This record gives sequence, structure tokens and C-alpha cells, in this order.
Amino acid sequence: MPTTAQLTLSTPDFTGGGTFSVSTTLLRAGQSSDLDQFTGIAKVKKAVADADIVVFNASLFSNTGAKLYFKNTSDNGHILMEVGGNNIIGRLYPGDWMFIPVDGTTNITATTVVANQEYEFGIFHEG
Amino acid sequence: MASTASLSLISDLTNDATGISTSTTLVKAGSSTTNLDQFTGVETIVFSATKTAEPIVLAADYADTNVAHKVYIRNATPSNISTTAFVRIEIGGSNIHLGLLYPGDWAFLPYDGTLDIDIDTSESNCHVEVAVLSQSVATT
Repeated sequence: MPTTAQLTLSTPDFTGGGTFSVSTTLLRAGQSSDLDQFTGIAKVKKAVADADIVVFNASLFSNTGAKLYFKNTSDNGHILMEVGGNNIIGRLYPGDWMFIPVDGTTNITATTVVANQEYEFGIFHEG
Repeated sequence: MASTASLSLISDLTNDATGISTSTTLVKAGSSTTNLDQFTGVETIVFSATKTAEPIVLAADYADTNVAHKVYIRNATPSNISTTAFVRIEIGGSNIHLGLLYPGDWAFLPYDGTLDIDIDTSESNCHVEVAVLSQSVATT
């Protein structure tokens, strides 16, 4: 069975904003075979605020169709997500998650901003 | 009624089959009750030629820093056009690579409005869907 990722976005407050879903099967880059490696979902709690925590280490992966899941599971405080040094992707507030492609050329880092923040993350990849 | 984004991940790559189901309510930075108040709608763009560093989300259009914007991007290229064409997502003026979306792949990411989001397309006639949910004013 392949790995599938489905997004359901509901925007009832906006004109034409119904609910739509998109689903993708996680495949090797440019191929029809499935991604076959998974880090599992790691859960991390930081006792103190911590900057530039590497959550995707590009040196460990080849240029692939890998995907990163990351969620801020804290009760308070955002987590700043950055790529390739300090190029800001955005802020994940409590409960926010992201699911992004990562291609093995640049690290993805997270910065927690207050004590006792928690997050979870996992990577689907092909090596 | 708030906007929501839900993720369902199903995998049998480990012995204990992974099933992740999570949802977030799309609210303004630092709030649990005030909804994001702007939405671009889902735009579909067909690039007749390959593109390099093509901006699809412009930071100048959004409040920045203390914001909880969200961006959706999908490689919607139909299979009768290509099954291998990729869309590379890049961040900022130095075009730092985030990753590759193959046909059908999607990304959902936070966005703080300080850097543009660009894409490269690997083939002609790539179809790309993009949407931004945002807050009109940064949280103070």
C-alpha cells in the first residue's frame, strides 16, 4: 500500500469558499514507485527556547521527492520555520502544521520562542 | 465560522501502520478565536513555457512578521500532459530551494510575508494551483 497525503481545506467565510480536498500518493522523484522510507513521527519538548533546530538535515538525503510533516503541538508560542540558513518560511502557531516538499539541498530549521514548547515531525523519503 | 485545514497521512511503511489525522483552525497570529480575514481563492495557472524564479506569492502584497498566513501550492499538471514535470518551490531573493512537487503533489505551509515565494517549472504547460489565506493586518 502506498503512502497518501490528503489535504482538506474548508473556507466557509469566503465567497465561493466551500470545502475541497486534494490527495497525493507519495512517489519517488519522477517515478511511479512509492517512497519507501519513513523516519517515524518524532515528538520533541524543549525546556527552553532554542534557535535553529535542524529538523531536516539535507546532507542525509539525496535530491528526492521527500516530504516533511511538522506540527506545533504547544499550547502557546509560535515556532519559526526557516530554510537554508535564516530564510523565513513562516510561523506555526499552536496547533498549526505544515506539509512541504524537501529536496535534499537545504536544511529546514525550527526556532522555538518560549520555554516548554513541543512539536512533532516526520520525513517520508527515498534515501 | 472559521476556515480549517486538515491533513490525513496514511502509510504502511512501518509495522505499526502510520495514520496521522490532524486539523488546525486558521486564525490570526496569537489568537485562538479571530479568523484569518483574507483569501485569494484557489488560482490555477498554466505556464505555457518553462519558468525560472517565477513569483507566485509576493511579500509586498501581505502584512508581515507577526502573522499566520498560510499558502497552498499544488502541481496540478494533468497526466496526459506529463507525469514527470516538477514544480520547484523557492523562498526569497536568493531562491533557496524548498523542494519539488511532482504531478499531484501539494504543499501547505505557513507564510510570514517577508520573502517572495517563487517557482521553477521543469516542462512547458505545467499547471499550478496556488492560494493564500492571510490576515489583513499583522497582530500587534
